[in-house]
Amino acid sequence: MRPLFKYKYYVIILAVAGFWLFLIMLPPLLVSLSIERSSLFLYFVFSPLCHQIAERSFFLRGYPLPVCSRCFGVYSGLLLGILIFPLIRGNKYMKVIDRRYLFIAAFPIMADVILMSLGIYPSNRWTRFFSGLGFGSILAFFALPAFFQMTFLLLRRGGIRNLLR
Amino acid sequence: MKTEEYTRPVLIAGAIAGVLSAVPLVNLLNIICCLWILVGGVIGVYILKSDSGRKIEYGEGALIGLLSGLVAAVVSTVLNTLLALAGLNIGMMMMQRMINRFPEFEQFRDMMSAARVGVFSIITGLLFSLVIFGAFGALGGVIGTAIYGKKKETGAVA
Repeated sequence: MRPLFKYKYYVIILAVAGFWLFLIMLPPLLVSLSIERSSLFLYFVFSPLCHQIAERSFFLRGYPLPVCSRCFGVYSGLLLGILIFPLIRGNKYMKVIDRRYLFIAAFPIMADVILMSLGIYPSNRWTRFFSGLGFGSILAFFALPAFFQMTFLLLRRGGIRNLLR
Repeated sequence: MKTEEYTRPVLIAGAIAGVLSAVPLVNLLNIICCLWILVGGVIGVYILKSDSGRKIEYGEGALIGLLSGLVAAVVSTVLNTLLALAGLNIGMMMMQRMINRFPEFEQFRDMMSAARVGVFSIITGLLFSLVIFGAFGALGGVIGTAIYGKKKETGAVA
């Protein structure tokens, strides 16, 4: 694979992940700057993706993020995973790690949800955040190579339109 | 890789995810990281694997999930529009919830009109859905491949 291929698409997906996180942090910043209309619109955009319960969300400048702490952890983890991917996987951009790691990474989230539902321990924003962070970080090691494989697949077939002919 | 294999899994998985994302109350589960769209991606991979009987690579799974998400976006937009015309406007309910939560937004009740059924709201909603459902569908396809795919990957793309 040509070096330019992987760098170009790596930068694209890194920028998308970073932009997504930026969009999440934008609504409370806008409200604090009295730009309420745009902030309301962004809260509305994120409303189908998360319950947005303030007690389970982090606050920024006195206002809750438009997603809960667990979702924020997952998205942060995805960005973190994408950032550290080259350090850990080197040139293996198209190769996915063993799927065992994904199931192991999902365990803290499931345990957090189950234990909290059973009332065994009180889950808080940070346990939700870190359980999501772990899962998101590992998910990046699946999503990034999958993205590269998918892009390579589409380029070889000449785009989605040709793919469906 | 035979692309004609994709049609059935994409259409079935996309239809299931789209319907579940539109049915009132059931669609609330989408607040768990677009759960139905993730499930749609997983279903798409499962159907492809069952139909083809061959190993599915992660890139292919992501592609199936992406396409299923796009189909789900169209299906859910159509169904949500029909529901809104029948008097059940989910978009307006969500906007109402936002305004009720924050006193700062009370002055923007006029924005609720943007959530009413119209060409602008349908097109905007469809565009957002295509992007969001496509991305989460691709993630669902990746997760589906991890569940139903082979144990060790060679990195080869069919």
